[in-house]
Amino acid sequence: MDLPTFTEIKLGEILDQMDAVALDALDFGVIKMDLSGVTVHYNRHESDCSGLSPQRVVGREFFVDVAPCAHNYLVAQRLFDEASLDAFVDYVFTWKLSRTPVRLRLLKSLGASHMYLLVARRTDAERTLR
Amino acid sequence: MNHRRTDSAEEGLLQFFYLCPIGILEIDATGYIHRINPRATQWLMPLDKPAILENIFQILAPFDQQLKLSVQTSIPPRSRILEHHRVIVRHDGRQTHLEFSAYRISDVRFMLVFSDVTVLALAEASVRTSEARLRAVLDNAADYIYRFNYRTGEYEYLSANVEKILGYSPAEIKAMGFDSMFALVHVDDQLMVRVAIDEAARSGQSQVNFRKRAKGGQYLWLSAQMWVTTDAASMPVYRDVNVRELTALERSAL
Repeated sequence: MDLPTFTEIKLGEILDQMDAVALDALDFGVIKMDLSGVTVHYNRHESDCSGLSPQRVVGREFFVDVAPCAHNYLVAQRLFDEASLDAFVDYVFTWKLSRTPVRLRLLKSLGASHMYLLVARRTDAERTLR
Repeated sequence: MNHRRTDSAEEGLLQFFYLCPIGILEIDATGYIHRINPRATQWLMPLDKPAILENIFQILAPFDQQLKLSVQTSIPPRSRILEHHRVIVRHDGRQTHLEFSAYRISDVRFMLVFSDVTVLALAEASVRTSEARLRAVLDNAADYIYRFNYRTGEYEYLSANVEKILGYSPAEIKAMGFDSMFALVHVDDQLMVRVAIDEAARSGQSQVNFRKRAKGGQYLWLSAQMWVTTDAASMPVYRDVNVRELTALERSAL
């Protein structure tokens, strides 16, 4: 089975069907949260990029305890406020006060019990092409 | 154990920077951003089209050059370079007022601290508008108004209309001072005016009609209504006076 890509259409539905092992196989970051923002799954790719172990992140409020740098109207507020959402956002994480340009995908389906923050690192080459 | 304590201390320090309600950047002289806290990211992100926040001078280039100039012309050692420097940025038709301070923190690094002062700027603009309206009303009134400060012994404010009535501009009157202005009161009326001033200081207000020599040499009949503001010890602080020229009909009734 081909793994879905970051820009895959209806990615939310696909992710909902994937188990933890499959999520860990993806080549982009997946942060799965419940509707209150508590982290349910922190996939391997994101863990490798951030240096944070899943044990340190799962069960914690993602935008409060893990990534307060995204706790604002550009990211967290959109996920919390909107009933359904599929949006790409060019963003800069400031983990340990260093800049990490990323492309985020905010995913939330109407009536779902989970929401996703997907993270793709933007390389210099990507930035130049844009 | 030590390692754990270090982790905890580092996390605490990071939390401090994350929750800091001001934007903080560490840059070099080219404007390249080496460190940035989340609040700075939040404010600058909408201004940076590629959203990479790589160079603060490039991000602010459409709005401001002074910050770049100040940083690049500063010389060591560590010092404050700029304080309370306002930059008005525009995004999606909205104006945001950012206030920057810049510090040199080493030979090659600088710290920028900034905050969003849009609410303050709007309040300041509102006060300026109100002041301008009030000043326009005072300047266009037929009367002139002045405030005399008992503590400094000087005129603190004179409405522009005083020049139309007496011929002296507010600046001229301030330069002349109270004694010189009092000397222009007709000698027969000086005692009456003095009594009215004392009465205002004692009771809070008084009124007097008197003659005063204008700049052109002619005497004018004037009516002054005085109010005195006192401090907590009942000592007079300000005397606010409204002066108007009496009409011929009013003069005939005196």
